[in-house]
Amino acid sequence: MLAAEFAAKLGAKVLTGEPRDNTEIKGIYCGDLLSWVMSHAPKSSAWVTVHTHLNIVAVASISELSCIIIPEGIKVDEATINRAIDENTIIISSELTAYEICSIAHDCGI
Amino acid sequence: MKYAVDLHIHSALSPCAHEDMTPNNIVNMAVMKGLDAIALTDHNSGANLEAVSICARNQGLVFIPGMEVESCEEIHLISLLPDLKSALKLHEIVYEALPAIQNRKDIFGSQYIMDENDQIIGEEKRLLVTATSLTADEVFSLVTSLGGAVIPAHVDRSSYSMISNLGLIPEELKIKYLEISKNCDRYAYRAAHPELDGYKLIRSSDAHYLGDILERESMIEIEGRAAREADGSTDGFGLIGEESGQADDMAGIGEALRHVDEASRIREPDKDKPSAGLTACELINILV
Repeated sequence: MLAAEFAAKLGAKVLTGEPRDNTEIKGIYCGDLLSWVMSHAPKSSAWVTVHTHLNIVAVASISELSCIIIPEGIKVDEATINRAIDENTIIISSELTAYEICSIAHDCGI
Repeated sequence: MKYAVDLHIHSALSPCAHEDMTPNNIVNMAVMKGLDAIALTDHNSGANLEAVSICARNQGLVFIPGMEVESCEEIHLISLLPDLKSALKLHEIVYEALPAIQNRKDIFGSQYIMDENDQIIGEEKRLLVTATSLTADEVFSLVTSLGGAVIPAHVDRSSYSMISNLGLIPEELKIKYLEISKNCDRYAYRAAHPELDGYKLIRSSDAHYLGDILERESMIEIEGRAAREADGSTDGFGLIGEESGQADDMAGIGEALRHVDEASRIREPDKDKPSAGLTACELINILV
């Protein structure tokens, strides 16, 4: 499933505008310790994190994650969004909890 | 006697810092801003400490060798050491505890190692801006055993802060000071966090750009050290480690820039300066 399609399933907002390429989600990964995610998240996962620091974009790039999903409507800094746009990283903002996001991902066969 | 300090400054070794953060630029800017002492605190490395210490000595600026160690809980801990030797010991141990992830310059930026003439003499290849395998407790024990002090960094922020990551300040850790960031509203923060009443707050810049370095606004008092008469220092400034007043940052920078030429010359240490003879060790003793 493409990141944009999954965002639509979640009723979530893509903060980084129209993605420049079609990014497919091949799994889902939850974690808030950036170093842990960097060394454990499988490639092409959608990453659910409450972190909104600029460095999440670097972690997503290095680990080749398909997108970042920020749960619970947490506000994301402008600087983080701008960096993500520069790096072609998709950030999705959802009002749902991480658990609810994962449940929907499961129902979608992710 | 009160001393103006900035205890959290990055050099171009930190990939997120601007490449203008060279040893001489940092020291000259600190001198222009009228600071008495600074600490260099790059992420997980002390590779530029020696160069900055030489520049500081040439300018008569008190220098505390330090490091911003990232614990495995992703807490940033300002670790301040009494001398270069112990700081380099910490550097070795922290380096061993860093994961073998290579820096990606395109994503994080360059990690320049420089000499005292601001020449790039090497580049750190391993990514410095990541968590070490050391727990926060281990960092405290280690730095304490080396005679240093630890200040949890930017506790008012939502990232890499002891409070954001652990939920509270662990009582078992021997912490006296907590760092608040440059633009934190100290009084609002105090009011919102009565649970931190037992801790002193110290403002540091976390400078990644030259202009970020503090004015004379973050003070450390060393009782018993005599103030010079000409210094005009009086009682009633406030608590130890609290700010001296509301500095007008822009006016300060303007004033500093008018003295660029003067400050860029190598100067003989001024024996009459209030900070003459002050050591890193004396300042650290206040912080633990």
